[in-house]
Amino acid sequence: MVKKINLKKVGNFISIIKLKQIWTIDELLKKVDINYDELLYLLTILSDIYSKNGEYFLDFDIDAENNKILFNNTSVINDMETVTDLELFKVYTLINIINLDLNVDTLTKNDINSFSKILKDAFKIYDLENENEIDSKNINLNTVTTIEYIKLGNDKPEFYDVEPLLITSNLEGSVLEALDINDSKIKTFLINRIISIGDDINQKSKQKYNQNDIDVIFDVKDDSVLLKLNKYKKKEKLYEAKFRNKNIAIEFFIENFTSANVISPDTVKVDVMNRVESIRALLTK
Amino acid sequence: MKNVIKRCVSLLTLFNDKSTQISTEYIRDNISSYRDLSDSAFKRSFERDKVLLREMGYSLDYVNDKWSIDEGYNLSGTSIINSIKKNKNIEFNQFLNTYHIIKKYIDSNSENTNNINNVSKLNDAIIEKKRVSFKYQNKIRKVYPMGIKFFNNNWYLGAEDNKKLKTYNLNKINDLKIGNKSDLHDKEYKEIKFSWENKDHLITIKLNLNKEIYLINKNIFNHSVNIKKQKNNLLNLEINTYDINGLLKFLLMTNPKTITLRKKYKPLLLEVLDG
Repeated sequence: MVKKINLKKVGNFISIIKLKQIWTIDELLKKVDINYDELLYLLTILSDIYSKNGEYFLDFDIDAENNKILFNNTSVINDMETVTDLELFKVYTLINIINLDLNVDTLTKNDINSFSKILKDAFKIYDLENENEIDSKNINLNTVTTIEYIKLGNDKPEFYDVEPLLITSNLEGSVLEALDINDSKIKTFLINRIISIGDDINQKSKQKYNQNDIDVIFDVKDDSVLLKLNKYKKKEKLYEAKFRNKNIAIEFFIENFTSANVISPDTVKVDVMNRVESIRALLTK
Repeated sequence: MKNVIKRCVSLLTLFNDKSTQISTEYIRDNISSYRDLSDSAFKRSFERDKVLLREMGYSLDYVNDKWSIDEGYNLSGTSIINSIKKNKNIEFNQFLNTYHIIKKYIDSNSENTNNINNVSKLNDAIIEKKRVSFKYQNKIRKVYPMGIKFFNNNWYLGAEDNKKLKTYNLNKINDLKIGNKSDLHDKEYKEIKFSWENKDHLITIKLNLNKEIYLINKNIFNHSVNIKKQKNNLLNLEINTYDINGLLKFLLMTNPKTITLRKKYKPLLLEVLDG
């Protein structure tokens, strides 16, 4: 079955086959993260492309008997660059959010550091050294560990035994996707809200917060706050958005108090205003 | 999708051969799947392909400089990998290999709030010392970009505006335009400070708050810690910051038990609180 092959996948494939001329098919499939049918699909698409001089874009021979594939890469393919600045920048961002350890034989911590350093020099990036404390969270991917985590909208940590799988990002920030060992479910954890990682965390009892989702109507002073929401509806001059629970809604509107004001429900509005007034009281003392 | 992929790869190969000022007619004549389309169908397909390429990080921009005879499309977006490739001190294949291994463990395809699509153009403008203009909080800014920095899940541009270094959140930069002229300045900054105000105010503040709450919110604003004392789960902190907006957000999020700061800074924070 051919899963969705998109342009990014094609770009990734082109970039990988430039690394060497002869591949074992299994190695190539693993490296590109596709199956055999998808490989054939990619090869079919690319072998149908010609340069303006009539030159083949991709010339290859498959030796199925010996599980090998040979690419006679043309100058067209060699000159084409499919690793974009944007892609490198996204990778740089994600690997610098956290101290990342990959459990891979072919890659050491030094390799990751030197990769990151090359990118930092290539982009004109200023870091925050000497300006703030550097996070010392160290994640070993694919190694079971315990994390101490404060859920959105809560202020008490909980403990999870997890196998970290993937670093990614969503609207709420950078995220660790990990298998919760006790629930056998893949869960996402906001990296900013992970307090500590390691087997020696002094575990306390888990506290469950089961609350229903909540719709909040609000007005907006700065449109950029809308970028932080997955979904919202415009209602004349106001907006409405759904939040996973009341506490998450309250936290969102406290964080974005200068950009958005809650109109209803009162349960959210009152808590946000209480927090604002408590800070106002501290500042007017 | 198959045809779209073919067209996009063909477009990239076309710019391989001749990377600057390619006319629309040239593009249409040299890509077979465009050639047979009607004018309107070609326009629709081409615009769609440009968007797909932009999502990947390529910029296909029409250059129409009034001082130049040539005009047409330019392809950009790969200057970093090209500069790395040319750097003799870097083992390029090893770099690429590391990139592909890391890519398997991090997913950079997901939706992101960070409006970082501009980063390639901005980085080129920084390196070539060009001037850029953009819309920022409803105002047009014309600035000299100096560098970028990451903070609290956001990327910021440090740029000189009226001889003062300011920071701009990339999320809020719209309608970015890059000037044509290179080497417009010879300035270099060793660090980029966050400056939210026209006038910098170094604020020192003492706080008393819960340790965990500090840990998950400390990256909200740029600050340095002068004194940190812990008693049970409570932290007594003395911090310095220039970031008034960030400090207010931090106070709102953490709800400290006590705050001590000089009287003259309180109105600044109250002003932000009152919008």
